[in-house]
Amino acid sequence: MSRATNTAAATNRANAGLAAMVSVRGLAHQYPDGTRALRGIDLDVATGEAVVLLGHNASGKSTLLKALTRLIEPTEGAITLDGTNVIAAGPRDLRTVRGRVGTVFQSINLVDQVSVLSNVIHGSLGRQSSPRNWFAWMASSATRDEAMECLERVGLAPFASRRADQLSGGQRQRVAIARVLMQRSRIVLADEPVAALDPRAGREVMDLLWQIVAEHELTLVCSLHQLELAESYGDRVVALQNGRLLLDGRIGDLSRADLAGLYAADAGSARADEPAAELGDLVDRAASGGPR
Amino acid sequence: MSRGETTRTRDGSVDVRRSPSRFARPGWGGLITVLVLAGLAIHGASGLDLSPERLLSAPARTWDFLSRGFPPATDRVPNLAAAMLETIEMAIIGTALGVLLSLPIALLAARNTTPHSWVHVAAKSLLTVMRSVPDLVWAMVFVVSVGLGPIAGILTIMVDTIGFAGRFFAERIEELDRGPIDALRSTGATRLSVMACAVIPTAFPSFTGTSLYCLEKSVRGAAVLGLVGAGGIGVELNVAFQLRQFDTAMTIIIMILVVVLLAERLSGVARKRMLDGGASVR
Ligand SMILES: Nc1ncnc2c1ncn2[C@@H]1O[C@H](COP(=O)(O)OP(=O)(O)OP(=O)(O)O)[C@@H](O)[C@H]1O
Ligand SMILES: [Mg+2]
Repeated sequence: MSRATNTAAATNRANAGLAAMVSVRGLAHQYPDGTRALRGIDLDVATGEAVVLLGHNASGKSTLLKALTRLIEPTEGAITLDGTNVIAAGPRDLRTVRGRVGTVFQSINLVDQVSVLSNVIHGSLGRQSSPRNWFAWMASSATRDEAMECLERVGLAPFASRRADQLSGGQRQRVAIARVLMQRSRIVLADEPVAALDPRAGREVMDLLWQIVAEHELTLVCSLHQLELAESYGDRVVALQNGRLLLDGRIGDLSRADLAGLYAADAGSARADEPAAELGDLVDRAASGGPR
Repeated sequence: MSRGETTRTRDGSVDVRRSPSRFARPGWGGLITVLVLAGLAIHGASGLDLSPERLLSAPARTWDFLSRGFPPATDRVPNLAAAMLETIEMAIIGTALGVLLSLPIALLAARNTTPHSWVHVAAKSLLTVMRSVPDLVWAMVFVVSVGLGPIAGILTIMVDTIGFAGRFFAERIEELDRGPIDALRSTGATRLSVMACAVIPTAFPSFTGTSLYCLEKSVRGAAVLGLVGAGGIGVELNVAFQLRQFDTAMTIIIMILVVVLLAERLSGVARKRMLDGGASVR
């Protein structure tokens, strides 16, 4: 399995030409309590592209990222990831797809009670579903070595045998990135990966994430709250509002004023009464200002 | 007048600012429940045969028991100690088996880990039956099926532990954080792997706490299982009372007291060690 298959798949895709790595059509989700978190999202992300997802609190970013691999079962719509129809996939195919999609979610996304190394080794469960990969002490030396390399890459090799709950917030996110590496993912979904970090640690984690995405030619969808980060890292910005796609453009095509407007809208998100208008303004300006 | 409604002020206008009434008026259901409970208590008390002679002779008879109980007999202590040891061993083996078996049953019973809602209902019902039938009744059943002695006791404690620990494990599993579970699901891990890597480790501290509490409870329970012939010190206690050897009975009661207190103390210490004592609020 693994590298060889991945390469073969990559060749197939190259031959097929234009297939997007992530393709979403009419995606909708309604929570059991009736909240309509997503209302018809269309989104294509090309191989190797890095998309920053913006939006106010409760705009549906987390729901979208979780729905992509059906961690949350969407109520409607079509999803294709890396050529696989996710919605139609049976349990086994779904696990295979999930194995190819690494996730770095907000803060609590490690198992606190086990070692850092075990957490990284969990990344291999999608391709090698063996009970030996449940805990680091049971894993084969080849698996342990690979996991150590991944930890080395994120600069946390010395912490391998620590319990995960003894790490700082920034270190935890780096462990999650090491797990993405261990997964040998092709797509990375990150949900506010630096929301809980101070600006410096946040930058470090973002740098690392973007480097790794570039090194392995991964496709990235990353939700963010900090506009300045979006500005310095994103190729392309997608903004959600009330579960709808509000804006989709190259960061370079948006003028300073647009970004400032987005910033203002973002700052205004704390006021529940009027965030919509400000983001709406931004769209108008983006439409008139830029080619996209 | 029902709760939170509007009141009319003197001039007939509606005062909507009035806050809801402080106390909800009890509904018919509550009233009927109280009446039924009171009726049962009165009926029970009237059937008690509380004759004055009986009440008057009670202190003397208790004194008889106490004066003949002290000093406690020491001649049979080695035998009794062996029976006490058997009791403790029954408790340990029964609890260990019970905790091990309750883990898979809890995974089947918890709504978020069960393979199917039917399995959830079946596992929950099994746990309810195990928990709701009193342990002395289980002991009588097992004495009938495997005969007198400690095996019946071990089985009783096992069933009792499963009923209790299984329920608490399942409830703990149902309230676990989404985070670690989603992290594992998102790697493409199988359900079994998600349970082994995320569910069990995150619930583990709570599982050990519950298990130690079960052990403590089992030691207490094991001491009386002998009353129905299911092994341990209770057998000796039963015999001593029937032969009216109150000094031996007193020795046994003191031994049980010491062992139960020790078990509580030890499990308390172990729990504290294992849970780091929790976050301080000082
Ligand atoms: N489990 C749930 N049950 C019901 N409604 C939910 C649930 N999770 C989220 N929602 C609702 O769905 C909507 C979208 O939530 P979501 O978490 O996707 O927003 P978000 O964009 O990630 O917000 P934030 O920036 O605060 O993380 C919100 O209105 C939220 O209240
Ligand atoms: Mg979110």
